Amino acid sequence: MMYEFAYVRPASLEDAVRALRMHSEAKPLAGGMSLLSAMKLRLAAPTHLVDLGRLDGLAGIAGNNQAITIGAMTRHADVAASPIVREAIPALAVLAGDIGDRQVRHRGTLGGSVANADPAACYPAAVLGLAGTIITDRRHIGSDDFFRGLYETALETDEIVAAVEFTRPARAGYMKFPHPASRFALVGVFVAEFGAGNVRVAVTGAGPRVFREARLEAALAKEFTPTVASAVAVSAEGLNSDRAASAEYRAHLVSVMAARAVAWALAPTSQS
Amino acid sequence: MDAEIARAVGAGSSAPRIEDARLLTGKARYVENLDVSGCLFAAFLRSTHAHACIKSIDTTRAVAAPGVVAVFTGVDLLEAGVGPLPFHEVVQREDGGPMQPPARLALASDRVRFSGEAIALVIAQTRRAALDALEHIQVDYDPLPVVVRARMAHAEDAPLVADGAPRNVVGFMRIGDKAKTDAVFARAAHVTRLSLTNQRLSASPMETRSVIASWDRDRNRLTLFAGNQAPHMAREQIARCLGIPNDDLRIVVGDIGGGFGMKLVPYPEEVALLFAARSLKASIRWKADRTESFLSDTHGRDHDTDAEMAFDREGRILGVRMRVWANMGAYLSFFGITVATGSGNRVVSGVYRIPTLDVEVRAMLTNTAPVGPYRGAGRPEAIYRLERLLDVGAAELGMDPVTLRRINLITPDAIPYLANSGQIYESGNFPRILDQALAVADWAGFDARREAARARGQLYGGGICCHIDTTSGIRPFEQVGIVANALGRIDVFSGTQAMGQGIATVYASMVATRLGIPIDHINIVQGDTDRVPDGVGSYGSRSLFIGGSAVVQATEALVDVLRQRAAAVLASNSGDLIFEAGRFAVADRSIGIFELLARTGGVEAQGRHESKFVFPNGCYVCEAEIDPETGVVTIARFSGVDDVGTVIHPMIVHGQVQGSIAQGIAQALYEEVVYDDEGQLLSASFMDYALPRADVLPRLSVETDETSICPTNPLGAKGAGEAGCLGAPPAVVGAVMDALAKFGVRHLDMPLTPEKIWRAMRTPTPACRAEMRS
Repeated sequence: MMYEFAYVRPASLEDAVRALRMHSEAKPLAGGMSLLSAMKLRLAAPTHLVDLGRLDGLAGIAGNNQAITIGAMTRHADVAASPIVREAIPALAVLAGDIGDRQVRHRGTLGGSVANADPAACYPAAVLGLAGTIITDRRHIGSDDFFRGLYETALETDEIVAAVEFTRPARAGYMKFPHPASRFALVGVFVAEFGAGNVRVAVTGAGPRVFREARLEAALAKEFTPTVASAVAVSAEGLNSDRAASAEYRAHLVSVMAARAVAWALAPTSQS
Repeated sequence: MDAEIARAVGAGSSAPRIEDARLLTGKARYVENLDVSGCLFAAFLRSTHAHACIKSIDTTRAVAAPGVVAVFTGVDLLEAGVGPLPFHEVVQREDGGPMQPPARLALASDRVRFSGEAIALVIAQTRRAALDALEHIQVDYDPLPVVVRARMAHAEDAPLVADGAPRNVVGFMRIGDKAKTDAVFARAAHVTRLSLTNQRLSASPMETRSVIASWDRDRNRLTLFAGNQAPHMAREQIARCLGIPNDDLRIVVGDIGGGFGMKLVPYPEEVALLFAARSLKASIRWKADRTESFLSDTHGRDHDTDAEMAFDREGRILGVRMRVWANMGAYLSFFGITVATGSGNRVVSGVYRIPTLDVEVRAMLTNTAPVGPYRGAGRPEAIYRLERLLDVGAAELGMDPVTLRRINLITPDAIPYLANSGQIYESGNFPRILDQALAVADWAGFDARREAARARGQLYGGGICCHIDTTSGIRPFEQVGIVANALGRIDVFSGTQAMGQGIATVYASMVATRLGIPIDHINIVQGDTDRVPDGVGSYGSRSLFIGGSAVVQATEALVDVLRQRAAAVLASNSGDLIFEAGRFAVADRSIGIFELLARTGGVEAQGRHESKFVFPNGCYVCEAEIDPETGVVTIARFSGVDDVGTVIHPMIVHGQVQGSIAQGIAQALYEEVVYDDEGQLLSASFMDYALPRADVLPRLSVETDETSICPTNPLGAKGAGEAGCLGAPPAVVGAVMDALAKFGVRHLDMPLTPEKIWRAMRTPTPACRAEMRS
């Protein structure tokens, strides 16, 4: 059962920022699929919840030839079902459609996931893998600078994610090896190729934060095939080791999942 | 006679479940749904240490916190004369003396022995106020060394959990003939040896334990609303703890959202809450949150075993030796030690002829939550160790695992069979069940399926298990009353307990069919020690074959009385009356039950059935596929045949079989309660404790065989609730080990996680390496 807190429903993004400034222990509520659980377990105790749920301007999906932009309050289910996303970056639609369960996908949001920066969440892998840009109420932050550590981002305490812009890749794929209990990513690998020689590989679940795997990127930049990914020996150094998987096993899974993500990206059925 | 009765109660037809409309439309009566006015709320402070002396508890600030009504500690209960929770005194200590487990107090007073043990109880106006106040209680601990594994607890230098258990052995049991067994091992052509662990599990019901303890001001007595599977037994145990007569405690059970044996035993929280309700003359609610449930529910299994099997040259079993360290946790839950030393050992030799055996079971205290009955309760452990020995033995002897089993099976001509446990297998045809299971599984097609899987780059293996269950448990009787009133309503009173399994549907359908009247006239009354005069409860798959047999007796008694009355009304001899489709008839005269009741008034009848242990059995075949890159196991096929005796309600039997197989597969592949070396529970939420989901379970092809019905009850039933938990783990593990055979892997402990399998594939055993070199 949660500690008591005050509920605030701002009418605009500016009001929301103001509310966060006014109360040092306030937290934005962006779906609440992680925050509310943490509060129920009494692991989080914000004095105020600033609910972004009614800020309609923060939800929505738009695209052009270079990029697609997804509003921070867009639900996972809407991303998964979006014709724009499915056409431009099918791997992202598939990723969104496999987060959590049906209920989570209809409550949880892109902005909430990105700001929470759970080390085993799926979205950060897509944001980093697709060279995304995090657009906040005040600035643009590149994904390489955004994810700082365990539940730690470049966001100020009163800063709110408004949207995320994803670069359109030539092709991309995401493969997740689910944790047996939580079904978060024990290891999740997002691979994206942006034209010859430009490959990004983002790994979630395996380390204390989402990260890019340089050796896989280098190898796949030369030749974008599953065989190449399988052959890369990923280092276990710095990876998580816990009851569900050792660092060594996670390192192994990174190259297996990378190979499968590449295979998915290359499969004719995954290109719409 | 038996077949006639089974027909008369409608065996083989599946009436729709009478529970479902209520359960599926939010009208269930779980404790949390009960509207008891003016309830206070409770929260328990739990030990953060696995083993410590409590130097002091300061509740001053909690007592003064807003909304708090009272704070109780162990000292309050001791001073009021509340005694420890009882345990089943079923064996002795290893030195022959009486067992001396540590006193299991409702609230620990001077020492805690596991992480999560309740220390203090806060009663407040709201649940939030109670929880907030917990944070204001100061406990000063003096930590003690910790031991969590049963085998390690037996080490000479292991920390001691309690004074009365030297080397942590709280109870000891031996079966068999040591000298004879030593002799056959000495001259055996081959001996297979295996050390294995049957891991600890959590029952994980959807409805966590939930209680309302209430003081009845009018009658000056206590009522406990709780989801207990055996309310009459719990009343006796809890009343003893509180030092009150049974009649001063009423237990009311509504719907139970999953019990699985975990809700069979009384709990410290119930005693503490009843004490508080009596002290405050109030009604108090408490519901375990999920982490509390993982911490403080009784767990299941957790046996370490050294197992040995001696064979002759042809593969015939000569003898078996077992050394079992059964983890009891820090205290004995009521049936904790019964599971380890009693129920499992009734099937110690399985379905096999074993000329001699030597089994020692040590019940070990450790700094972990107490262990109790959990679906299967001892039999899964016993069957698993035998079946693993046979699989490994077959590999070592170069024999086919099916053949090795077949040549050792007890044959039908030997039934009834006096097993090594001293129990008599009353019926069964084990070779027939094996043959049928192989047919259902299309075992002949296995090699082709393996080739197909290999062509896809997958590893593929097959496993088989011949299992035998023993149903009933202690207190093997049930008493059933039937009251038919003049308006045609028929109440059936039973001390067995509905908990989702559908037993009320089965009873109602049996009575309605026998009486030839619509099922909606039948009302099954369970779960209230005031309304149901006597009974035992639901556990050990006993509700149908014992409880249902008592229903049959009571129904026949009712028909007899009605027949006498009908004879008088129709001016005939009762012996001449034909009873059919709800009417008594003679010549051209007849009268229906409802008219008879309306004209002659209500009727009461009683039935009672007492039973020996009976032995459902079966055979399962599993085929498993392994992804060689990740170690992930997929169950490709799961088939088998169960002999549960007469199948009264096929839909419910299949539901029970499916559910228990799902739990068995889950033990093989997913579930495990894990404590770290400091005794902290690492699997304390569903983020860490892996329950299976629908998408990991295969389509099951499991049939029933009714050719060996049970001769010791009028229905011919044997019990169907648990066999899947016995048969599935060895079949699944056998299949996975078969798939891994080329890596030289003999055995891996459950759960077979992907990493465990991946490691086994990467590090071939020395023998395997030698083979690869050659």
